[in-house]
Amino acid sequence: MRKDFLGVLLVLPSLFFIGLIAIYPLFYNIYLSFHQFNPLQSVEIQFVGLQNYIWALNETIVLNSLYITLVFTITSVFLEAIIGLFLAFVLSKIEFSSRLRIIKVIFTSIFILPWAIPTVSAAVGWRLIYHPIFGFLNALLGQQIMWLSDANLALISVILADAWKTMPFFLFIFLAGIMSIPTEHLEAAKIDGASDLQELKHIIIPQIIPLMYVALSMRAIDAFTKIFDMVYMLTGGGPGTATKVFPILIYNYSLQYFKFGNAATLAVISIVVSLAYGILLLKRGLKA
Amino acid sequence: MAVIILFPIVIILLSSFKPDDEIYSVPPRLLPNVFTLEHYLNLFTLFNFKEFSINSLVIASFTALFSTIFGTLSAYGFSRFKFRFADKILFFIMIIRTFTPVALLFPLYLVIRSFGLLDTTMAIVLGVTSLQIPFTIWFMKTFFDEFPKSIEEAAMLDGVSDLGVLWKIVIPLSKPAIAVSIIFAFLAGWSDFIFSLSFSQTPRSMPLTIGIANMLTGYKIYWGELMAGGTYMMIIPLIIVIFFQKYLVKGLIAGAIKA
Repeated sequence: MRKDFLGVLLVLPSLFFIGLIAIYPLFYNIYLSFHQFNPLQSVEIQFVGLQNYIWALNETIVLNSLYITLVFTITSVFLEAIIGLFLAFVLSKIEFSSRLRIIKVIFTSIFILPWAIPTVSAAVGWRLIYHPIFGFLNALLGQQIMWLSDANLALISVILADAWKTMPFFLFIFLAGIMSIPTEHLEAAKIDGASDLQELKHIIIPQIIPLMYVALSMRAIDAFTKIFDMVYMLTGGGPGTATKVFPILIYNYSLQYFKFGNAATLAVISIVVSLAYGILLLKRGLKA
Repeated sequence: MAVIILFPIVIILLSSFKPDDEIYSVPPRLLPNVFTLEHYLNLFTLFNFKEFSINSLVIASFTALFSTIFGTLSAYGFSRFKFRFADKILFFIMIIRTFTPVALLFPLYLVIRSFGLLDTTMAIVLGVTSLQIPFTIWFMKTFFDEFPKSIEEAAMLDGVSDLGVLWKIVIPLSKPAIAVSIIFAFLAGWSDFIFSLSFSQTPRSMPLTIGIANMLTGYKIYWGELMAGGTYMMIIPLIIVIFFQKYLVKGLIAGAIKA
């Protein structure tokens, strides 16, 4: 009995923070989603029933934003996974072959750096790379492409920058997977004269498929719910609504337009998606 | 390969030392002809970077402190004690990690405002810490679950109290895992964007991230200063990468592979 009490005591301070960040906002969002609250016009909170939900399900900007976020998630996650797998394979070769510890340290540093630096730093670099006049990408291609202000290109430009920033997540998970494959398997393949590509395809990928599945599903929900800083810094959601991903849309309606009822409705929709996905994932994870 | 990965970082670094006419030259050149530190000086004389730096350090340090202390204690509670609803609470904490921070932000904004905490670094610490705690709990719990209980049981037979065991035996043996928690929380505070953007209004509480973001919204974009600011913000993460990369990799892969 005493022991249980101590357990509760240890957990309690964290629960205060979690209550503050998650439980109170969750219920307040649900409450507000049935109300109209535009503090710029009136301080009154007005009950409007399902009106906000009807608005959200019919508003082009909202549906378009969900679509863009989905495209962003699928494209960037697959791009990151492919680059990550390839780089993990290269890094595993370096780890196996180099006897000098310093070489490993240097390569690990280089490959983890995009993930470790603040998104703000990465974003200013990409702004300069993408600059239509004195940017490096156009200089390299000999073109004058508006990477960030052309509505057809902005999303893919943001995806590329974000994939660069987030790719180390896959890289190091896959590397750990490759390093855990018994070396006899890899050596046997070498003796049989397998090329690098064959080794990757027939030995490594089949061995790390369960790991890929876990990493992809974890990263997918992160991409869907947490993309914000990079978009804010590169395009601010524009041009027009070309890169207005869902978190940016919620931010627009809340702390920019101060339409708290609409913002709360969008927040509830996003939390429902997270809950459904999270429960599904954890339930499957528990079974496995 | 490594060159391509490093390219954006090298661009920021090299451009930050170029005088304006070289930054705006068409076509751009990679290496500076003339090496200048004027952009770095401007950051401190024109852009309040002294205040921003102090605020960023305060936010990152307190986030690391609070989330590690509370997260570690809770992780130990979840790992070693049985109490009602423990599983359900833990499940909910894990689910929170999948929420969109922005969705939780503006109710929190109203709370912060009613406490009179708007435009303080503590408001930002509160936000970042709350989102960091689930990671810490989960990472530390995985570690404690695999920690051999026999050591603790032996100490308890010797008459050491529960908290004594935690303080004198478990914590000293958990240093590597605690280091991971501290480093991740520090980086989360150092890089925070959303909470700072929402809760900070003047240089009084503004961190470097928002200081740099605001440099993009003026009529004139100061590219040199922007690159200098971007480089300046990378210094601490770079040091962490070089000296603590083992811990970074451990935390990064913790989700998919058990710590």
